[in-house]
Amino acid sequence: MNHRIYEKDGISILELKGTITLGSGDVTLRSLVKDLLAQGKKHIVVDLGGVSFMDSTGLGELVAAYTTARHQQASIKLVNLTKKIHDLLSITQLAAVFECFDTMDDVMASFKA
Amino acid sequence: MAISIRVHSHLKYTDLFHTVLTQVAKDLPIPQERLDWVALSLREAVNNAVLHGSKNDPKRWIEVAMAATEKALVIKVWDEGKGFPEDVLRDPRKSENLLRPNGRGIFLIRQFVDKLEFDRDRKGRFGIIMTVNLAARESKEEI
Repeated sequence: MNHRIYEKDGISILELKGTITLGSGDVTLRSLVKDLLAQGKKHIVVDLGGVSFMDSTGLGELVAAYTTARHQQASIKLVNLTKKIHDLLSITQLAAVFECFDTMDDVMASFKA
Repeated sequence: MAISIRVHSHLKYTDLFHTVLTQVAKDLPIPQERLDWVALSLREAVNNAVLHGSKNDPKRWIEVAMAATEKALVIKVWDEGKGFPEDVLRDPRKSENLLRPNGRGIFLIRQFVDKLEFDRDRKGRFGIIMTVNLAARESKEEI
């Protein structure tokens, strides 16, 4: 899994690419979010548009990132989900946990609402 | 068509088995999207065998067997562990489990294969057996 972090209008964007599976950097997602929280970031967007494959460990990483953020009164929102990842979130009912957006514009607007 | 590969128990082989499945599937009437879900199921079963069956001990062995007929692809993942009673597998969708970071692997397999069975062979190995129908399917995987 590759990643890039950048800021946009005070929001931290965590852009992920590749696969999020057991043994392929799965620890990184959780630790990346922890690092952002440690820097005092309260609004985090995870851009999953470049993620081609995710397994149950990847889902677990997303959940762990979400709960860690929530415990620190921070928010994590997801954007650019592929159909596969959207399907995974739906059948595990995690779609009801995460705030998911189709476009970066939509998710950025949600912070201003 | 049949192939069986036995390796020391290690997560580095999960990608190998994924690649083997991709090659095997080239001769099968299975759409790419469905193959991706079957591959996910295989990966979950192998990871389960390594982490839980073998207790992450690389001295233990795991074996993956794939056999295809006109009607079905059957994938068996064997490990040397004790297995697990099916009734203790929690439903990750329940509210008390929803925010747990683990416990979704077997659940996902159930969603993406047509039949999931657990078995123990004459060698005492524990097996996860996944059957994927190759004939026209009902809408189970059409999520």
